Amino acid sequence: MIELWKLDEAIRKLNPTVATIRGDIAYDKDENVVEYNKAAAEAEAIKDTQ
Amino acid sequence: MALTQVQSGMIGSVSASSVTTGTLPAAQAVSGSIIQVAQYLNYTYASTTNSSFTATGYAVTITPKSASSTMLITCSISASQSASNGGGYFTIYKNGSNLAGANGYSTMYSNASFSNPFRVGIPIEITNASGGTSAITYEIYFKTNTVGTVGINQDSTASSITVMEIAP
Repeated sequence: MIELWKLDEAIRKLNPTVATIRGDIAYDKDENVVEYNKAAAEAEAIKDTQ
Repeated sequence: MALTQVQSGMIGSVSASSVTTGTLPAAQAVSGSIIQVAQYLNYTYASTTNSSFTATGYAVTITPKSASSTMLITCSISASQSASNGGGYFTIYKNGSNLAGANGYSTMYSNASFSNPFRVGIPIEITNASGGTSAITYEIYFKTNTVGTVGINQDSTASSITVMEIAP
């Protein structure tokens, strides 16, 4: 199971415009939704722990 | 058809202890008693790197029964910070306006000696005048001190906001 903070870091690393995350939805600093690839973020999060 | 005859002495004051059924109108509630309670508790993770207050999504909407009630708002926030020397600030917004000062009601700070993410429980407890009988939304907002990411609900924990209306 991926730790939430690792996934959080991965989403932000792959999507630098992300400022806020609420649940599975990411937003930029102006509260616009930022589309992101969750599978890629999960892969990135796992990579960081290996 | 059965009839009831009112006899002398039947109508008069009734001891409150004799009233065992029915609902007391809010206007007749004893001063200081709780009229209604609303709560939002959830395990959903939220985080921000914003250094200006940002909604967490943890909100309660309540319609006061009295225009002169006191609203008691309590929050239990399972907070985290990703970075050493990272800070977090928490506040309560009422219908989109911050009820507190520029840095909110409560803060956290992750000392460099802690392993990250730093976790801490943040309580907030305030009162606010109902100011009418229109619906009010109270929501937890958060922000960073420009360092790291402040979050809520690491490790499948929960945060909550509870609003109690207290009779005037």
